[in-house]
Amino acid sequence: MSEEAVKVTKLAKKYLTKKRKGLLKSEKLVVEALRGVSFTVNYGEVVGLLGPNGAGKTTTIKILSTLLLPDSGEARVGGFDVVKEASKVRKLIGVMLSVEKGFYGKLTGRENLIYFGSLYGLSGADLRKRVDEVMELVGLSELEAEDKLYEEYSTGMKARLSLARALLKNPPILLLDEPTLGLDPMSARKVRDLVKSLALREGKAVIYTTHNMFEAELVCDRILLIDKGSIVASGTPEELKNKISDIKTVILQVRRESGNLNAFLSKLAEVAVGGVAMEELGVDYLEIKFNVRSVEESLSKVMRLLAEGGLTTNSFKVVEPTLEDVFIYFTGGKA
Amino acid sequence: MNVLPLIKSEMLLVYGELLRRRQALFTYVAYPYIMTFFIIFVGSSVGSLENFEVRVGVNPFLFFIAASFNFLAILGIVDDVLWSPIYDDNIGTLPYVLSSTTPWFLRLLIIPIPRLVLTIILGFTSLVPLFTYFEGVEGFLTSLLLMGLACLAGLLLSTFAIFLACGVSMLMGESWRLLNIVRPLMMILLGIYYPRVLMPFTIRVISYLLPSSHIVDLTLYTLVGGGTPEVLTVLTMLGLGIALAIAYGPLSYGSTKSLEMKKLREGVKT
Amino acid sequence: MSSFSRARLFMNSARTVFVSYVKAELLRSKGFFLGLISMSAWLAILMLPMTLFRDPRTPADTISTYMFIGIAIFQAYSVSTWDWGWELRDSLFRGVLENVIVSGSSIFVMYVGIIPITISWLMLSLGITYLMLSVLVAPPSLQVADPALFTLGLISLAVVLFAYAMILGSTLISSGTSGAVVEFISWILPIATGGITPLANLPPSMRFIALLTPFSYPAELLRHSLGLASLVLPEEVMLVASVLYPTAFLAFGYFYFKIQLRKLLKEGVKTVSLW
Repeated sequence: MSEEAVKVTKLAKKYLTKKRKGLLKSEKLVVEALRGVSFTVNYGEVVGLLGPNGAGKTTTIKILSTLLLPDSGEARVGGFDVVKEASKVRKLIGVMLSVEKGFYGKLTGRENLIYFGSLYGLSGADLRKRVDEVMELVGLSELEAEDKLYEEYSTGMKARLSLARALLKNPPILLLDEPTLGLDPMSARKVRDLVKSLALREGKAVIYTTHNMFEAELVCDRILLIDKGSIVASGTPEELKNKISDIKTVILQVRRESGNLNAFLSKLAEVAVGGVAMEELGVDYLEIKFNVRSVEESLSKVMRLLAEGGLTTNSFKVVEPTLEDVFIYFTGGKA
Repeated sequence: MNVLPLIKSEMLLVYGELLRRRQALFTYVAYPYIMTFFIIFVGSSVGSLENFEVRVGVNPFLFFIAASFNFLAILGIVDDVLWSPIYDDNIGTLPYVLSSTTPWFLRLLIIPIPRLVLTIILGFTSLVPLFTYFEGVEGFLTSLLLMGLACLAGLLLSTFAIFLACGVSMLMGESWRLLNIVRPLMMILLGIYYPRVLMPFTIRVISYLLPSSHIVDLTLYTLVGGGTPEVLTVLTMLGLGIALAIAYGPLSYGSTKSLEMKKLREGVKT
Repeated sequence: MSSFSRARLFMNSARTVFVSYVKAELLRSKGFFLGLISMSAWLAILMLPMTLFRDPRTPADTISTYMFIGIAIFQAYSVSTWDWGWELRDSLFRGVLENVIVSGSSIFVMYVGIIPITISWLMLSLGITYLMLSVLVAPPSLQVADPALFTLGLISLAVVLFAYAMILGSTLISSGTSGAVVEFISWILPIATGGITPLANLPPSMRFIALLTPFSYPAELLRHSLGLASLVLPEEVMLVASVLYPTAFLAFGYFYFKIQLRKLLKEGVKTVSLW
């Protein structure tokens, strides 16, 4: 096996979709889901694909798991081409695509795993033993859920079962699409810890998609920021934050009705780097968050703008950027 | 590739989805009786049982229990094949089926095998009791023969069913609506409830193209001919059925591959 | 809120249900046309063997008339079972019912919204049945001998089937009964309650059972008003029973529905499988 588990070179994919116009008519639209994406993933690391909804994360995972044909470019998984050597790729991957679907409701968790295990080429006592192992690994045994019908599973159990299926044939490469979506904090932590240990101790290569910055920072060794089908930045969480090290994040709390807010915001856009995020704090206050370069100079401009706008501030903070700030910086603040 | 684990896992699905659910199993077993009595009820209000016997040459109870059994047995064997592409797509198992190491075509081909168990259960709960009641030991033996023929009819329809299922899914989205037209048409053309000898010529020709229609005809010969049709007739019909089933093989493989490629081009739904 | 405002709100909601259903199921998914063709195919499976029972001396149009009425009543029962009764369970499965309950809107909005579609479907399916019988047997000769009785029969049948749908629907959502059981009921009910066959043609024991149910009276009235069957009870008794029994059944159905809904809210929404 090559050192590189996954190698993607200028991968592109377009979708044809329809926009409804009235009762029966529709207009065709072309959506560019991927625009020449390139990256690699090595064995023993967890690489995160981080981006907002519709960025191209799931499209990338589907291509790598041989469930979608790309329009152009190349993707090699375990050294094999995903298009021309799909059957070889399938032997090397474990896939988790959806937390809440993908199993037969009238079979128990154990029976579902036996079913899919046989599709994966496992059989007999080996299969049954492996099913017990993975159920233990994901924590379904401790919940005594092995012999419950799938339709009676909670969301957390479904997620664990989905991960168990991905691990059934002990694949060297894991492709996990938002594996903690909808999970409670305990279940989500359990999944994250397991994923990290699979990479660290067993040397698996893991691609992990998420739109949760906090989670990406916890789980991933490297992060690829993806937006509108392109990778806008990549690196370790620290490297990404250092990309904007000369940038600081300013957090203001202003009183809504105290002055001319709109004028302030339009002039602020000239000072801020990247987008401006706003959040309502109750009825009276608004939190405004933005990034600035050359802190001293920028801050004095901001103070002047606040005075000109006649706005009253409740608090004013300058903090080191988080991964969320990095994301806002590179994607212009759209989530 | 070892197919035995695949057959066992499909058996697990049959067990989980039908055999373990008492309500569903009870209804399935009751169906031949329900359909028989329904048709005989309405039929006798528009005519009489004697007219039927004169026209068809068989006791109507035996005919319709055999026909209903055939109908449900064949449908029970191939229905999961017909619905598989749509059902797996809807519940989200299709990505895992396609990304597994088992070829999709092979899985579709295996689906009917465990479902033969349903045919046997249905036979022993409907066909065997009624035939034994009406015709004694000879009836018992006839019912076993009919069960065997139904199993064969179901299996021989598999390749055609795969071709149909994948072909229909290729043609349109919401393909379950088209399938709901194709299924009953197929059951009519098999000549189960309405012998194909009574059909107009054009329809009969189309019926000949279905592998299992020849086996269904054999069933009728068995009922009408007092249980002993001519050897040449039997061999001809069996041969036609088997030959057609094999002939549909390449078509069914091709349609499966085409549908798979279509799904991959569009992206398998997750 | 005044009763008038409430009624107007109710009808607006029902109209929204109607429009949504038409857009989603009938037009955009081509359900209308494909559904009609599918129905014709299934009907043919049932109709074709029945033609094997006919006496060659009996006029073909008489045979086809009997078949038409039998199938029409069977379809009316099916509508009640699947369009109305099952609709609740289906909406529970899709996660829609809980949102309807939470909205504060009456669940009956879903029924009322579907009624125009149900009636249209039924009319169209009867049209297809008529066409198919005309091709396979002979055109049914439908002559209403007594319009008043016919109208009473129709209204009575609609009331009975609506009450049955409420009982079935509410039982389904509170108990999570499977589709297999409902399918079983949908076949047995028309036969056992004298819906399909004239009561005079039923064995005495079955006739007795049929007369105990509210279903047999409207069906018998309809057949009699079309000149297809003689009444097994005096006309006055049939008339009174056709008014009082369905009304009482409707009242029972309504209260039963309310009780089941309360049970659902108390015990929580059950997990139901697709079938």
